[in-house]
Amino acid sequence: MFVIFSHAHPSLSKGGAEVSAYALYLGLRRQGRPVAFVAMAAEADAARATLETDGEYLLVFDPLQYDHQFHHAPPTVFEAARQLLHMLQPTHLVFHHFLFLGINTIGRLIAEHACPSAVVLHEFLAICQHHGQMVTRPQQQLCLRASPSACAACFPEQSPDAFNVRRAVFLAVLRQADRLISPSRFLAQRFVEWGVDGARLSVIENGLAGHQRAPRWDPARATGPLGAMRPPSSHAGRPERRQTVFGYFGQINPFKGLDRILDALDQIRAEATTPRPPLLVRVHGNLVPGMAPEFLARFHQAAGPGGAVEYAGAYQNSDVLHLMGGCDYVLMGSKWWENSPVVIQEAYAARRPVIVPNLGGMAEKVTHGVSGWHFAHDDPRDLARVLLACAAEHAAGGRTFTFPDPPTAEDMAVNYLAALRNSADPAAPEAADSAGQPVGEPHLN
Amino acid sequence: MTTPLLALTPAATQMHLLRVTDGTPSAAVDSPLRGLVETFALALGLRGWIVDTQAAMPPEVGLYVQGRHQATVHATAYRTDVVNSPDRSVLSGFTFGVEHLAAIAAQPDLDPAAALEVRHMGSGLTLRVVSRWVVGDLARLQGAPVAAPPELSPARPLMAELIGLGNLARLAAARPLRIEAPQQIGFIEFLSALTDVLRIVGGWMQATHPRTRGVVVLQGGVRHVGALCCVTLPRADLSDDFRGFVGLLYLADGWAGIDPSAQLTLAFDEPGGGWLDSLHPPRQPEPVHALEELRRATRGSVQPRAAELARFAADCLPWEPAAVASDALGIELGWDDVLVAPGFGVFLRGWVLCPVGTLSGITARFGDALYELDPASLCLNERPDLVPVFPALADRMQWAGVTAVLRGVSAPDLTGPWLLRLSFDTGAKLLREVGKAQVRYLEREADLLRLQRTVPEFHAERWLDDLARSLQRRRSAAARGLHWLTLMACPQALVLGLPSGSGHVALVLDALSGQLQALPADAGVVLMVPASVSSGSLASWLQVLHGARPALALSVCRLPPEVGPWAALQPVLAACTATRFAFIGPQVLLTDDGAAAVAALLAEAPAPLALLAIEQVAGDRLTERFEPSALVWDTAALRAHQALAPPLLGDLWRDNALPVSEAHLVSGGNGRPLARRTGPAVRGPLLDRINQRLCLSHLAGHAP
Repeated sequence: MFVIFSHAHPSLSKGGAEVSAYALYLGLRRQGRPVAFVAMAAEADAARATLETDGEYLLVFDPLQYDHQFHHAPPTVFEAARQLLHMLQPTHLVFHHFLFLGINTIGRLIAEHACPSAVVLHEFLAICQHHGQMVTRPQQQLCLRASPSACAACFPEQSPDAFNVRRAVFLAVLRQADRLISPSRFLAQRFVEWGVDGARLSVIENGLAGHQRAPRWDPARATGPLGAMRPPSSHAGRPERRQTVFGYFGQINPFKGLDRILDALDQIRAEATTPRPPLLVRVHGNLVPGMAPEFLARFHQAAGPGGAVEYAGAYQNSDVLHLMGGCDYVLMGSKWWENSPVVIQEAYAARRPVIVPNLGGMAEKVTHGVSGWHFAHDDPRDLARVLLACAAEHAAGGRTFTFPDPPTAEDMAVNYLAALRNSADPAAPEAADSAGQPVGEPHLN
Repeated sequence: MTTPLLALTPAATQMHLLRVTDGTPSAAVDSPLRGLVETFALALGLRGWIVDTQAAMPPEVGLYVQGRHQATVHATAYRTDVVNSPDRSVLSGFTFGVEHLAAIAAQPDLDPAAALEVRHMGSGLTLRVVSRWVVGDLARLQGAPVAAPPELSPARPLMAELIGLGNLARLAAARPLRIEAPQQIGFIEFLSALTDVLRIVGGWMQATHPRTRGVVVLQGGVRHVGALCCVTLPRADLSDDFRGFVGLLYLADGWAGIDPSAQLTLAFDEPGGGWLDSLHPPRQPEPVHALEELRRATRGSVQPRAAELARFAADCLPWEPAAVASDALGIELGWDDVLVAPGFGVFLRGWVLCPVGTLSGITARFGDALYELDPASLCLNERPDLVPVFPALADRMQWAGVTAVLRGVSAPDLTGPWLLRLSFDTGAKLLREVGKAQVRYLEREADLLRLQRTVPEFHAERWLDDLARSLQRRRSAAARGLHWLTLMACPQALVLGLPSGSGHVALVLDALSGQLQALPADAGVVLMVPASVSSGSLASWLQVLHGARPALALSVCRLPPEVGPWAALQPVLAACTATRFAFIGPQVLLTDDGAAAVAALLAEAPAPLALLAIEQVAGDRLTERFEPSALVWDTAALRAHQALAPPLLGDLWRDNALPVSEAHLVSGGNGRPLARRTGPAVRGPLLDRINQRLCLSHLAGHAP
């Protein structure tokens, strides 16, 4: 039994880690392999979970007992996981994230089972206690390198020694795994700089669970209320409107940089020669609780009459290709490095160019001038320049972009199997992923 | 208004010289001079101190009798109790030698009642005196039976002196005592209960023996430390080599453990210091009768402490009502802080407004517990905030603020009234009750911040050592109240002081569960659990430990609040009968390599102290340090160390005065640390300063 641990179930939250973990589960399942998906669920949330298949399990835990500093789970978590594995008889163990399962539980489970194991790295939580963002606090500046003293500067209530221990404990467990998997080269490089052995680190792109290879927008799917409201092209059905539509997709939280996008729009309006801006930013996503009131007021004003923002609210993941098809560009403004954003893969699936900051995983996944555009990070003026250039180009007929095909769930499953086979048998030939890149490369040394 | 003299101790700033105008002395508050004549004894001469805060050179003082100049000397000694100067360059202590006093005694025309006066040579101002000494005293001193060496600093009150000597006697109590017949120097005839820590004692002993010393009292094989202060007198029933004595016998931990009807032995705290046996059985007179004996012995005596002994003993008996009501005196007072440190004394901060005269003394009596003023601590300062409330006394605000330390080890007695007796330089006395609700207790080290508000910079005070010892004794007593969840005997023990945070506990116990197999077969594990760790999370981890090594001798004890693992280590080791142990402090994580090293070191019994290298962050790099947070040692050696080590506050501090220089330093090498620090060991800058001071004092061989 191929057993996948996930820090959450996608029916409870839609983060990139749990979505990609579930994609791997579906990919293996579609291949007919025996596979189990074990998701962590807080006691209060477990009843809300929807388990679609018979291979899905919830590991219920008490969040109050979880230690968020060293990411140690209480022994009860390990005991429950051990009993479950005793029943499942794992042939492969893959840990998508360590959150809630606990780095200590992962170490013990790997030690108790002789089968090949992998730990998948999502964001930088092992390195950075600040939500794994590698962004300093309170200044919110990009962090280039973690160190005990630098981390203690972000968390003055903790000593540098505690961060030294934290790093040592994490590295010790990561050393136990046969293979470490990163969805981006950028993330992999950061972990190697931090102390992870690059020879055991593979870069495998996440698969998109709900899509087939080279998907296109399907008019037949435009039956729901959003589908009926949003035509596949920003111009179709509204010939009088010549605005270029930039779509923002995802949660609206302080790290996603929507405030910088608003800054850029203010810049454009201040320098505009016509009363109506040539572009529109359509925001899809939910506002997370706790956003600053000043931001909310500004956001709602921008989304009001005559504003350059249109707030479309939250969306179902199954509708994302259709919604992206209604935009001319997909726009990201993240203030942190990102890893391998699902939004970019989805945009490629929807055949839409992506505008991203020239940062980390986003810059890696979007080829400037080929599959989208980069703008200078945290620079609203440069973002305004890029947006205006895109709008002008679009008004003039547009340009032809070339989009990579995002891997499917089946591709992802094949690549994981190959990586784990290689770790078990280094002499075995390497598989190739859907983009033709060798799996397990680069081994960053 | 004068500017506070920052270089002087608080008490010294108050010692203005006197200006004599029309025969009436008044404080020269506008002068930069401060000084005091403290001691008068033939063996010592006439001693005191003087400071000119505006002059670079040590001041010059002259000795006068009946206005006639007798001698001139300079200040030549550095006095830590006068000047707060790190470079010890400010000389303030002066001495008129025996030859000067002899020259005065040789002048037959001087009036025996004429006072000895010391004046500053530049200004002519007169120094205050602790007591009024006259020419006639010279003759009496010459006739004294024993020219005793200086035994006490006059500035240190009797109770403080007894407490200090008692603390020093703890060292003697930790050493082997030799009670041999040739060293018996006398007998104890009677003991009379005065307070829970004091007895009036009488008997006889060799004439040459010092009258104030630390002592160890033995009864039934148990040692009790304390101090004796007595006066001696010739007795017709004794040979010339012996004197009768009456005095006060103080026991630091109280007399509750002593059977007064059974024989006891009193050994003096000095090499070859001799010992006394009690007659069997000793008399036990009523305190009033014993006090009368003490009064008879001290009446007219010029021996050190004679008058103070009688007065102090009398104060221990119930107080008479004040002769004059405060209303009649027009005195107003209020207390901002009344802070009781059990086993040490009382800290007072408040204000006293007296239309005539200045506060000169305070004594407290809380039920039967007596607290005596440490004169050096009395500090009077300005309280302008009182002017709106007492406009009629606006001219008295300059010395209205009061800070004082009263010494006494007895706990406040709740049964009787709590009284303060105030004395004024006019001779007036005032008795005033203190509301019990107003009194707060300083029982924990965390309360030291509160004390700092009452007595700023208290870590520089000379009574710090006594205070630290009292806190340490309370902590040790509390540590004996361990609550064992499970206790299993083991010859060797790995003792872990668990951290207080649940996250760190999980870190430590998770690591431990993987290290148990490395420990020797007969080694046990002892977990010292802080009160803050929940039982539920602990129980699940204990299950993991048992699962990892089912035959493990696992003991678990809960530490009382405010007791750290280092303080509890001795009783823990005694309970589990371990003769050799490894100790890992709460801010340290043992690595797997460290566990292997511990296993090897535990097998090396007996062996010297071994300190394990602890990896910690220093700037941008990692270093190794050796601290008492990770060590392997013999239990007997630890017991001996803790008996002799200076008192320290906080649980673990730097090397805890361990014999680090002799220790075996064990390092993992090759980037494989044996232990890692998870948090800082030192708990705050105040404790750091206090402990540094205590260690330095200990190294210097004397209390601060």
